[in-house]
Amino acid sequence: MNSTIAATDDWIGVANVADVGEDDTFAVDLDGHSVCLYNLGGEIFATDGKCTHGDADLSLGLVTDSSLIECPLHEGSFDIRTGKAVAPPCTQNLRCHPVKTEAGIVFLRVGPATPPA
Amino acid sequence: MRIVIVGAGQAGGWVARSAREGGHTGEIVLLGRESLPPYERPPLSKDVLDGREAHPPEVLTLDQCQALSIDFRPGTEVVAIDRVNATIQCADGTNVDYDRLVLATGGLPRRLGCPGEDLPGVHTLRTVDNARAIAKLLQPDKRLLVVGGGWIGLEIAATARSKHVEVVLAEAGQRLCARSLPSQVSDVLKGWHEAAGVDVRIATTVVALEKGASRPLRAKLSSGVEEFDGVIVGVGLHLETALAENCGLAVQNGVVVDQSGRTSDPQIYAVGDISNQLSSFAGVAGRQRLESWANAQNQGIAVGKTLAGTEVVYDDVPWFWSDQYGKNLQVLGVPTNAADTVIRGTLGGDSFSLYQTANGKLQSVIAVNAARDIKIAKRWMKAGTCPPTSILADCSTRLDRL
Repeated sequence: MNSTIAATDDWIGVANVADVGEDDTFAVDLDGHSVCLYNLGGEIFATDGKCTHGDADLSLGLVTDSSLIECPLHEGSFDIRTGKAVAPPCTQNLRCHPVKTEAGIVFLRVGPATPPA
Repeated sequence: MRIVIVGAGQAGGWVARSAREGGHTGEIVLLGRESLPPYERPPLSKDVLDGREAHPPEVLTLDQCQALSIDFRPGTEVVAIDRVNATIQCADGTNVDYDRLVLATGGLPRRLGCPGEDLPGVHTLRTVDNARAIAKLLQPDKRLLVVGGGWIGLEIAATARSKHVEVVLAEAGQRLCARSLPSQVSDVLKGWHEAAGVDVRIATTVVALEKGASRPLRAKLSSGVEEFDGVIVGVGLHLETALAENCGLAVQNGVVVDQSGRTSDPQIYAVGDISNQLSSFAGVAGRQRLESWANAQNQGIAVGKTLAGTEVVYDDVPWFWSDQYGKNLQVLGVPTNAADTVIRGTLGGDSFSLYQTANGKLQSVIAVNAARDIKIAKRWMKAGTCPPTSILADCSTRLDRL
């Protein structure tokens, strides 16, 4: 049975899996909201695109230790998998978004995202 | 053990927070001259100045001071240190005893030193109040004189232009940011400002200021006499090291400290803008003083941990940034005019990085809109490595995949 995600479900296709390089970032727009995608060991994660500390685009930052995203503005970092702020000046956790991949496409859920831990 | 911190700016705030979070169970007293809890200053020439943000980010809120049992006393001026009795004297006549003392006093804007410098309409920028006062001048068709072609002057000029204010920028020296940048990059900055309509005047000084006729102020510049609605002075920081000097601590280009921030008195530390610190990245001198957000934060955090009992050697790679006209410029390490230079991209382009090497080692990186190049280079600098310059110059090679 096909399990294609239909447009009527509350998931929306935002990118190709191939767009998100390993240990790299990819910026997408989710209903007017900026979201950053990451590829950690083949698994796709997604967080808000804007740093919680300042007006910075996390997709311009650097993925470190295959698990953290370092903000381009002030070097604070977050754990990509949980959104937890792990280095100053960032103290407020980052919001994560649930991700599904199917047929080489990355889907994000439209609607309330995972609240920060 | 009571820790007393004099100066509740960014550095002082982080010392307090870091000491508590590092496990210090004794009292932490944080004394600030300003009335506000510790905050970050960089937005004062950018988002706070142009009105996008009402306040700069706080390092410690009043609630956090409560939660962390930090005894924060704003509006407190410390006038003397009594090292014999290990106590400090405040302007209101009260004393505060210390077991450990941290000086995080920063500084005040250096004065122009010319007649008329105290006239209404002449401003400096260090505090939130200063930023709000200058913001009132940023109306279309106002005409401002910005004195000083360093980072403060340049950011104020850029913010003023975004508000359609006419700006004359007077720099006394031969180029912009001469203390921090090699000349090719000074030229790039001059290009940005001139393209944005700033009247950049190199080798130009202010002889005197007086009340104006058609506009509130008249400035006698070395280039002639002109009138302005306001004058903003950004000619450097006068360090608040008097407390240290007066009690006999070693002071030379700031308060001299060891690799853990200790002054010549083992009970007293100095952090932030006033700290003359040891650094592997300071070249032959081995010591430097850094006026940067990163140093205030990271040295503050390191000293806090040391005070809490885990000795930390602070030896970060110097790092600095400036935002002008929507462009982000970052400086890693200590640039000089003497090093070998490799450019990745095109100098003056939308995004480029300039690498300086000396004897095969990476000395500094200056990057415009290339934050990742800086982050990657920081790893190399910490490790003491440096890729071949041919690779640095090759934009088709990913530096994060080496």
